[in-house]
Amino acid sequence: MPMSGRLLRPRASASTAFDPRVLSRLAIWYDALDASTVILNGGNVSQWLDKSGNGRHASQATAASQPQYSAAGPFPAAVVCPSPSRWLSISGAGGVARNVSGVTLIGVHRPTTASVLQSIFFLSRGDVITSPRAVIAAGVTSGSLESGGRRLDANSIQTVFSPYVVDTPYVHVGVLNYSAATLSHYVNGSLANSSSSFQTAGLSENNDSLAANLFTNGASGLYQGAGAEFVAYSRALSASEVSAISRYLGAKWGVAVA
Amino acid sequence: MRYFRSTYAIYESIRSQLDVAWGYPNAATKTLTAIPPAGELPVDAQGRVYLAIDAAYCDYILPSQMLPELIASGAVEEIDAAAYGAVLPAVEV
Repeated sequence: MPMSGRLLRPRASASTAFDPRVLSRLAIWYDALDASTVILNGGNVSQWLDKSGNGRHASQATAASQPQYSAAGPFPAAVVCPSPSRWLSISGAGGVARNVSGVTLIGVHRPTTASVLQSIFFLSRGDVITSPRAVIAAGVTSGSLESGGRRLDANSIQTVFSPYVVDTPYVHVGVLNYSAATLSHYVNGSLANSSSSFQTAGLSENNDSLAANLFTNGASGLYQGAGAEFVAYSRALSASEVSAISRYLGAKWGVAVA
Repeated sequence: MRYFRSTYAIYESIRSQLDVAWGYPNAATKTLTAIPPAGELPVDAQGRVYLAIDAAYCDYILPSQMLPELIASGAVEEIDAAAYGAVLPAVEV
């Protein structure tokens, strides 16, 4: 009697069956492995399409400022900033961090320098275009990955950080829980740092971010390195949700995740 | 990185030449222009615009041909990172 096809079918692992759309309030999703979402000008990226369904595409209309699209490694595909002069501006993202109980920013990336401020995934305040409401960054403190931001435009910024090694890939997650006044910074699936006194408890400022960017704060802070995947949620993910998405991203991009 | 400054008019003339040569704007590639418009660049008290650009971009055929003559004529001045940084607006954290 032949073996049942059901028995021969490979069982999907938890990490490969996951998709960012499984979690609610997905706001933005960029995936370099999906070549159909990367619009090229020669070998450079003029647009990186948002897979979340919200149409928040990341664009750069100036050729000299366009990142490169590369399969040269270590990621099988990535949007690369070989120098601090390339970035993408995200359209329609003003409401991602507006009047919400939390925001989660996620980046799979590999920085190639340590000593300068580099904004990786940036949502601005509603009153100052180059100042963050929510951000994941590198190098603010030399050699550190950071997560942080502010709840209200008038608040001072708060960040937490952990050390990183140049030319190493990371799954970097910043969870800003405005309602609970907590800030959690995850690296490769582990809680690397946190604050239980993040701002004052409440909803975020009830105005749109003036700008949202990949690889810059809009004035400086330009990233050098490779970005493989970026995901944002308009809420604070739980620890188990961060674990699930970190395992998914780690398996997908070959990053060892706890 | 390399850093340059010139007058607004000269910069825009260069940008226009590059755009014509490279066929920008190009709707298919969603690219409007070769280098940032002058209005997006930092400016000093004399009204000169400042450009920071990837050194690799300057090695493309057209810029590599244009730059020596532009610099020799004084139309464009190459500066260092410190001079460029001095005209950047302060960024509120």
